[in-house]
Amino acid sequence: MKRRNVNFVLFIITMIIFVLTACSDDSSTEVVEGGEENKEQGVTETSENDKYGGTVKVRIAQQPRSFGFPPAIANNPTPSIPVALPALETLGRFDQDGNVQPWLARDWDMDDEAETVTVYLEEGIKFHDGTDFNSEAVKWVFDQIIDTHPSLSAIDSVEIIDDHTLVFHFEEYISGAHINMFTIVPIGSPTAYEELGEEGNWNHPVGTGPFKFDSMENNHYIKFVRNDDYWIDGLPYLDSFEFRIIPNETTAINTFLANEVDIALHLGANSIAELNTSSDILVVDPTTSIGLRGIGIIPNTSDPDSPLADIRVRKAISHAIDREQLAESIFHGYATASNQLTLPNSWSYNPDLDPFEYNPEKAKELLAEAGYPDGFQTTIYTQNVRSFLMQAVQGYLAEVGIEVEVDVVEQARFMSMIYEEGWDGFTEFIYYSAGDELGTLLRPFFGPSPVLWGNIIGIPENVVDLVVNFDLEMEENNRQRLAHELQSAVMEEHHLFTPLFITQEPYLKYNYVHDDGYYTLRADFFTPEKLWIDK
Amino acid sequence: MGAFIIKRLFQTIAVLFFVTLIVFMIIQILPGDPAQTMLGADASQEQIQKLREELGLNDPFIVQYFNWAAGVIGGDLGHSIFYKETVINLMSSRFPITLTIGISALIVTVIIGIPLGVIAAVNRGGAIDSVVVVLSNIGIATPNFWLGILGVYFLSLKLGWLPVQGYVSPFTDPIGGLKTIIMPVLVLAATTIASVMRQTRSAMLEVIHQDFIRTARSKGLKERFVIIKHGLRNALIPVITLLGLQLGNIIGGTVLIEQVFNIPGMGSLLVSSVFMKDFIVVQACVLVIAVLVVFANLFVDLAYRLIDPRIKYN
Repeated sequence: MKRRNVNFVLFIITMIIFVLTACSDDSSTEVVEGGEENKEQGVTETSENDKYGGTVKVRIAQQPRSFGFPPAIANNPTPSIPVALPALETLGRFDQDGNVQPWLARDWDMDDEAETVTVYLEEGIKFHDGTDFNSEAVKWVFDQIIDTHPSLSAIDSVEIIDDHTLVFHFEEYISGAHINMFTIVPIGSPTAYEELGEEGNWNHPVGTGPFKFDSMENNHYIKFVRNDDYWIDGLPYLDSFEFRIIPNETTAINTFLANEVDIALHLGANSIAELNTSSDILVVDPTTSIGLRGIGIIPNTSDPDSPLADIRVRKAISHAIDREQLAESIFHGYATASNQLTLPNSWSYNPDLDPFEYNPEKAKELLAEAGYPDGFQTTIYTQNVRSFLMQAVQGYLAEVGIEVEVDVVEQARFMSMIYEEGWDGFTEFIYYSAGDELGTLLRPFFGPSPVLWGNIIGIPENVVDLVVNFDLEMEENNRQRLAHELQSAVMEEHHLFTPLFITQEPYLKYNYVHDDGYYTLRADFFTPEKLWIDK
Repeated sequence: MGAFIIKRLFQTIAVLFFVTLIVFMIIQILPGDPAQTMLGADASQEQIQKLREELGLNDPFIVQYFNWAAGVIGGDLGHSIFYKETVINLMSSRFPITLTIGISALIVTVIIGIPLGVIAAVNRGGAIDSVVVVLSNIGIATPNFWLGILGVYFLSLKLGWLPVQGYVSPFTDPIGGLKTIIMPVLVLAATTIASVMRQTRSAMLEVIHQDFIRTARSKGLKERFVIIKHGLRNALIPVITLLGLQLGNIIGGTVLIEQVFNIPGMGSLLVSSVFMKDFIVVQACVLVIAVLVVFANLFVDLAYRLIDPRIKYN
């Protein structure tokens, strides 16, 4: 009797396993690569009328701190900007080559000394609340921001010439400020701000964009609906547009595969590479040519007794890591190994520098020269999302005798370490590699008054001078020379950090989604006025 | 009974005081500055200091705690530093979601766990008993999150029956709502169903061999009546105790389940607030969870009397 029961149970379990296995037919199909031109398959001739209608849902990884209050957005561009831009627009926009093109500003002039920029605004535009977009509104927004945003602080004042002309007065020419004023300052309605207040405006954008804010639920969704009075005739095409906030990456991938969202942003290269997609799914590289986010590790050199205070040790570490191999194995090709702050094809890249090629023997020699023939112990502090990468680095350093503990810390603690507490050993180093803005982007780390990393380790004077001089230089050839000198000082003379790679940030979308307007520079940008679907 | 309830309420106040104090201390000890997290990478030290002052973060720990506690007593749970909303507002949309999932999981546990436990006990050694025992072992041994991943893979991706994630209120869209909560509720309830099933089975086995059951049968009562009226009622005390304990697990489990299924409930609010060091929200979530657990246990204690009138509260 008992044996019959056991057999029965085993039979049931076998049947369950059989059914589950039968269901789990993994028919892997081709992954379609996107690339600059967003190759889209199956697109047939579509008339203008066919483009109208529909809703697109986009997965993002986290809720922005604010997507309605311009100063908060400009201060915290990722992920605020991509979420804000459907409703709030900027004076200019980057094109695919990284050049700033007119948008809400139809044109601008800069005087020879670059002390003033005269901006001519588009006319006849209204905010979502029906009030006029004009010089007064733009001045109001900039007046809120210029004192709080480090890279806009070079703007001294904004002067209204007439309803659609303003002059921006600069204390000095700073390349990044001139770019930032056009690209990261979203223009919101001052009237809406007065009515809603800062808190009411915080997550309620009232701008000039193709979509109006409709509703949101914290950490769940943010919904926009079509702005019928958009200033560009015939746009936008979609009826509505939604961001779905899905922090968990596995859940995000599954949600995309179940077609509950149409576009999935902010995914790890690993997840994308391991995905078994069908031919109706596109993997798109949104990278423009001027640069991206870089990843490296930065030592705390402030303690003279630390092995890391010796430049030979720091260079040994750069020789001990096979960046090319890591880019391939960890980022599945969605990253480019670099020995400098920018990409090897950038004009700011210095080809004359030591490439710090992978050479464990040389690393050991340098360590021995520095008095550490048997290596030493150290720590790399990292955040969860990059812990796997740091574990790989740990393996390489172990080969040359450096015993590394990888300490994964949560965001708040990490920020505290790089701002004021300091750290022993290394932390991960995330930097912007955009060549045009090298000076401005390095200011918070390596500038005259660094606020993170640099304030802890102390930055050599010549590096600070080069950062500042680069930012102030207008002449193109001189800028390139200064960029090369800066790379040389940071990487060869002082070897302030070990660069690993410049990452790409691919995303997924279905092939029925067209002209999504998503691109990545040092922040993400989402300009979906021409987005349409043929679902 | 009245004195018992009053005594328990006083104990509850003490429990809540210590729980919130400990959580407040833990949050203070944790490294990281909420002002820095809020302002982002480009903020200057002056901006950070100004915000710290505004948020009262420069006050001594005990002053911060009592300011918060005074607010709570006055009905003000504080103001989120990340979401820029009152905590009451934040919770009012999230608490019902967590409660819907938690209560549904509890109901499913009772509906499935107790009957299966009874059936297994009555058919001890039979095929059904073996299946129930194997299933309960699997249920206890399987981690919730893994079950969730498996469920998403088969029921959402392969079969397309249920959504992968999200939440729609069953009160606004009954069908859509039901679809979004089926998987989280089943996954959340899986372990508790298994525990309740086992507990019911073993309690029933003890009871159905006792003399009063034999007497009931010898009086010619129907077997179903004997099992339910005489057997189950007497076997329920340990099951109710277990259910009370499982309530805490269910409420705690929602934190994980809400992450896996991306449900905007209190669990996900708690987790995101911990990461953002939005300590006012963390504190409020912990307070609400503590209140729920404490009152659930009080309810369980009171339920003993309903099931067994011989129990007296002194």
